[in-house]
Amino acid sequence: MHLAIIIPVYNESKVIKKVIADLPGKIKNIGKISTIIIDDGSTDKSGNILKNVIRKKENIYLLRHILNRGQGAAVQTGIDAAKKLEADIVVTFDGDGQHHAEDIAHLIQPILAGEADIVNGSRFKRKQKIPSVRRFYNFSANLITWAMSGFFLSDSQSGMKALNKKAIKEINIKANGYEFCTELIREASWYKFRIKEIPVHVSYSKYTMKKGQSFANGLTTIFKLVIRSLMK
Amino acid sequence: MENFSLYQLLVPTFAVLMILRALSHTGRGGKTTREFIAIFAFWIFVSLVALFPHIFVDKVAAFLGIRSGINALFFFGFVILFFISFRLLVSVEESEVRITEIIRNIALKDFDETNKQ
Repeated sequence: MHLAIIIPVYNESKVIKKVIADLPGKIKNIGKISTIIIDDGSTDKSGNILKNVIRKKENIYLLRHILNRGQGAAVQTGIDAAKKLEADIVVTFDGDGQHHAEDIAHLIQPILAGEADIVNGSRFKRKQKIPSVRRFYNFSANLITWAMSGFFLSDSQSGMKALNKKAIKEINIKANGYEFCTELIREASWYKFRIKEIPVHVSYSKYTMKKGQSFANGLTTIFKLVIRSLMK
Repeated sequence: MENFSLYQLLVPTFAVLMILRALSHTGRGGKTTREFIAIFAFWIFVSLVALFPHIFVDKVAAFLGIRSGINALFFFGFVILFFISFRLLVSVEESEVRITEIIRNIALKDFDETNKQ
């Protein structure tokens, strides 16, 4: 089994080295692990840091968007690269250091067991400190995702997901920004994929709070989702 | 309360969302405090107009001499403007999708070339 870990990166020079260093070298029942990093038009030192990192490591690939297009676009580029590398499983992993690398092994278990096509890493399925603004935004987004896909997930906007080969082949995200999470679930519903949720850890710091979704971003995301659904 | 209309609930709700959005931008340095105060005052005014139309709109309408016929004209004007705005939004979104496709294809082409070497 070949696992590809996709990491979208936008101006993460402060944390990206550690995020990559923490990734697992080996996982049970996985023969090969590749890391696909998408530099989404970073304007800080992330590009240079990433070039140095890939020189020193094996099975790590760097793709660069010449302009910042958003997390959804970066993830889809990563999925396309994973297809070219003939990956069997893809895991999407945020580049801001909020996810815990040890959760990757748990996340892919339902796929290895043949129980799910997509596994959603849920921050809300375990007790942990999550700012209330995030909880409010996520719950609103969960309702919209449910209305659009029929799936009610506890954390529809999670950046940590695993896809099996079937999902890698079919999923084609058009949304540029954070709204890609909902679009992915909607596509999963369209293709009748089996979705499972697994609790994952999350660490919120001042840095990740500044980088991630805000209430303002959330409203824009919801607005874009509505526009996109009207366009369909 | 017997004449309470749906818009009297929707407009203040939307105003609160816009104020929270502006607050969020201000907290992140995207807006100055002065801009926030101006936005806050504007949406509070819009909410008050929606909640107490007889104090604001009716007096202005009476002052200008607006009657129901012109109201209908305004209504259709808003519908047309809304439709034009929506069409513009859709075409902007479609252009965004095309730009993204170009950027993604460049990245994937470079990836193919690097892997061949």
